[in-house]
Amino acid sequence: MKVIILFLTLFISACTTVQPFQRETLSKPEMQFDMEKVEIGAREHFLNSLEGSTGGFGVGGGGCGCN
Amino acid sequence: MAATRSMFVLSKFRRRRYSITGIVILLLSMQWTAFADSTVGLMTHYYSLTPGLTITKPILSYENILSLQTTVNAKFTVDRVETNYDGIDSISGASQFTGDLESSVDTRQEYVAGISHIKGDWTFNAGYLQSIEKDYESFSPSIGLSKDFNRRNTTLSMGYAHNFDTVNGRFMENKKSKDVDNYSLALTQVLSPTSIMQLGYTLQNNKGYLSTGNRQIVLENNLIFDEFLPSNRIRQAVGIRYAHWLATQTALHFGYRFYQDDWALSSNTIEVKAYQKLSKRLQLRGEIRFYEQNSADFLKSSYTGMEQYLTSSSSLKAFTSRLYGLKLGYTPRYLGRSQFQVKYERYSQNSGLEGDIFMFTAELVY
Repeated sequence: MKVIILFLTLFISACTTVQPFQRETLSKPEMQFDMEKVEIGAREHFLNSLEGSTGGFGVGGGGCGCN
Repeated sequence: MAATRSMFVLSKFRRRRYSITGIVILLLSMQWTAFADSTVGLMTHYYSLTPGLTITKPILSYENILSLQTTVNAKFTVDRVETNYDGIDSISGASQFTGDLESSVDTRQEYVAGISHIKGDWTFNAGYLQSIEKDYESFSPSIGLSKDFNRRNTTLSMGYAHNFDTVNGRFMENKKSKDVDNYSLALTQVLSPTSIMQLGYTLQNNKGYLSTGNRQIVLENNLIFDEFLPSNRIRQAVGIRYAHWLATQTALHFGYRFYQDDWALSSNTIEVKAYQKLSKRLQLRGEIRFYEQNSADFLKSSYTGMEQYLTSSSSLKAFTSRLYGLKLGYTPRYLGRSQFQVKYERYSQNSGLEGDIFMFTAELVY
């Protein structure tokens, strides 16, 4: 939880308005959180079957008999 | 709920036929409606875990941008799971299993379709997932909504999905149902021209038969009991992700997730990824993941049979895990943004479970 509070502090203090012409770097695929969504979905399904946790971001994903 | 469930519980043959037909129609109709990039991907994972578990997982995915506002996607996944112990769940606690030691194979098929539409600052999306294997079926419609604020520097997203599941494990006399409500909320904020952050929260409410029907427990007096779990489980997680671009053409990603449920299980996950351009056509990604969890409050190393709940699931035990990986992506000349990728990951738990993960992907963008 301390990590969350630290990031929230950075989050709130560092916000700025970035203009459209300044967003070239942010539009790069490797700067997207969902660029590898198929791969990440497959990995999360695998890890959720071995570990007791799930979630954090997004919904979806069906159940399975692997838990 | 019974009437709603009946809408999704068709015969297995009809479900599979409708799913395949729907995906084929979707794909065939996409070509003439393609507006800009369409992407077809073939991804294959191979997992080799100790003790005795191998998984082969090919995934066929398709995404088509119909217009500036509308995108459709479809995905077909096969999970072929083979074990060298008694049952698919042997990885969960082989010392407490009964039955003969034999190799077993199970195959799961998953069909997914979705659509998203942008209107002004709003994005709407809807999807449907269907997962079928011999002892488990899951049908899951989902919806989502997001809105941009502050000249698209801030995005608020929310989503909901419901799982209509049916469980029919090998130790069960009759099928049983399980219902899951999934809620998600996320806030994405641009911090600077080179950094972005996302805060996420998910809530999952599980009701019904929450075991797999494939696990049994050997009691202290050598009697054999079927696993018995609570009929409710509320699971919550909060996560933070941060991405930053460096002058060395490197994208750094940091992620942290805290999870907690009402079975008293909680966990912490930390992930770090780095994307590095090696050349115009070659990119390398390195990643590290650390995970730790405590155990569910009703989990015991041995049971007398007088306990209210009994389980042999290794996923409910206390352990830590590590994952290290490298992925190489290559963009061939004359194929635009199409790409080939190979990945290797090493996964290990302090419980003794460990293994190698291989992935190969061919992604065609046209």
